Amino acid sequence: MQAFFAQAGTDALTKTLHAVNDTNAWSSLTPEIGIALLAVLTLVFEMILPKSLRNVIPNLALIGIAALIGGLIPSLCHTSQAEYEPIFGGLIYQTEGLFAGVLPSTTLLRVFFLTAAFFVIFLGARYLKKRDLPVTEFLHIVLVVTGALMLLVQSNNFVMLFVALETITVGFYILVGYNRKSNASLEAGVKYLVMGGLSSALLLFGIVLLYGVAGNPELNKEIAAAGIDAMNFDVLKDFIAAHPTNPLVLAGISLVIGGIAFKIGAFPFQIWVPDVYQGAPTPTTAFLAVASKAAGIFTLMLLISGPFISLVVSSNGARPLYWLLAAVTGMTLIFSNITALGQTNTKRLMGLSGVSHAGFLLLAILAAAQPNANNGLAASAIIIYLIAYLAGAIATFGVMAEMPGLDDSTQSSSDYQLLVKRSPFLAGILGCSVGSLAGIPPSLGFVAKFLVIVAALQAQLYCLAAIALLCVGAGVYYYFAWLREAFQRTWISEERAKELSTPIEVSVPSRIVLATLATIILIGGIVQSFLQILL
Amino acid sequence: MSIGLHHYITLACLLFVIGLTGVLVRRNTLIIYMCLEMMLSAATLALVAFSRYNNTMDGAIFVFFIITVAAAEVAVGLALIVALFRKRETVLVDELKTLRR
Repeated sequence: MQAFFAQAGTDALTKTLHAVNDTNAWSSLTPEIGIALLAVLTLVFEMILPKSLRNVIPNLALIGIAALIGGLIPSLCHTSQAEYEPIFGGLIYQTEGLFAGVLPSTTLLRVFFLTAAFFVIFLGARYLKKRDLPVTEFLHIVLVVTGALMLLVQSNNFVMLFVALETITVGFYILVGYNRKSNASLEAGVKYLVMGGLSSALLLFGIVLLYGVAGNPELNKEIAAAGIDAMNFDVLKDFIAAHPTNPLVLAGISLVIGGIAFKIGAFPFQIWVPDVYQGAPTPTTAFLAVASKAAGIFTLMLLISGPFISLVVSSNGARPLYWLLAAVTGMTLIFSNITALGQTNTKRLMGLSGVSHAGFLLLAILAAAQPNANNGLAASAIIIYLIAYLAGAIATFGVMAEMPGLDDSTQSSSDYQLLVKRSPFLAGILGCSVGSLAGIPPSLGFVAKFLVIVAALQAQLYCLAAIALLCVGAGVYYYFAWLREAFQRTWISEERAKELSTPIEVSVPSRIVLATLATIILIGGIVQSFLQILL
Repeated sequence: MSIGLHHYITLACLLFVIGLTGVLVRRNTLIIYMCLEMMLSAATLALVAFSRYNNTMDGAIFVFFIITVAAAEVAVGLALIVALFRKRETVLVDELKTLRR
């Protein structure tokens, strides 16, 4: 028996290695390799450049990212409906063009993450320099995390998924606790560490259960014969479709979904969100809000349109995972909006409203998973929503980082009083971005929310669509309470008025970046015809 | 009595639940962290047992990835906890109350 196991095991191993070797396609991972090189280069430059020249390192990183985005554009414009084969022995699955079936293509997602990293590095370099914190290490970790994010959305195997997700999570532990001088940042780091570790453990145990039951030679005869990889999404998809009520399958899937829900910040795993968003340095919060949430959402899409599809769309009407997700979506929307209502700390507000945005994205995912619905519309709604959230959230965090005062974890909406007088530019940007997050026309955020609700109605999710509409109303209330401080003249004492009389200086590069984001928001809202390429 | 797959899986589940309970009820960050590591070990044990029973090597290979990832996580995690202790002189979660509305 011992010898047999060793023999069979070694055979399977050689087979796997051969398969990986035969389907290697390193050239299709050029952007990931490029970003890894860029990450190493930043550290090399930090060592070899004299102190006076180190200010150029962030600019080099920005140029590198822009070049990588440029390199991906041709494959984004590639529209042939070719069949895509998994590469690296089934570890990675890549698609080109804008959409591939009901999913956004992996190329589009890679461009999305690179863009997010571009803005985060831009924000981070200025933010950290102002606070006299090391910049290069921040760049390095952001670049590594971006590479892992890009690999995560292309994974076609649970090993790949877990390793990429953990690289992201460990990177974020460092980024959240980056400001070692600040109690808030360290405390947020430890809270994120405990919560992130817990979610990883849940996810991992779920993966192990699925592997164990799908590879069981008594249940899965094909595996016993061919020795195929039971962690591959395609193998799991067939197995789960054949055994949808196996208790180990259900337990495994619930644990995996729980682990992912943690990353998204969906109910009931949203408790860490306000604390971590508040304590983390602002550029990290922006990265966490945009990239980490998008990664979680895409992983969920990948799983429920791949291996778990038979529990979401089923012919005999039993769709346990679908109802679970519907309940999570409803609770996420309701809970986040109720808790955000009385919030005055701006970063906590962004955290709690971010949970609400995650709820909207989950609603779109449910609509995309509904059979007989217009799945294409729901998939476009997700992408447009994420672009709107990227522009809106990063512009808002950008304004927060420009505000005077070094400790921004205590920034509250009353700090924005008279902003329109102190810096009309920042007030204008804040108006655009927060208005877009609230979903006010004419802004990209309005179009995005509109598309999500239309997709939900087409998928006949009437109850959830009604909850989402109420949440838009609540969102207008809490976002505009903040904007009112910035724009409306409220009664303030003489001393406070004197304190607030100094204008806020904004540097030219920051002005250009913030203005670009605001332009994207407004053009997306006014000239909707150009969004048609995404529909 | 021979020890079969069920024994290993029961043990792994038990370890996992002990770890989870520890994370939820303990108040010392270091002990919470140990419990997290115990949950990862439980998953590793189950993985090896499944790999042996299923006669596929993927599980056994995955274990190496998990160990690597856990090592990275511990390096970062302990560094964070030590930095927090230097600043605040406490590792008890009850006393970490800077972040409140």
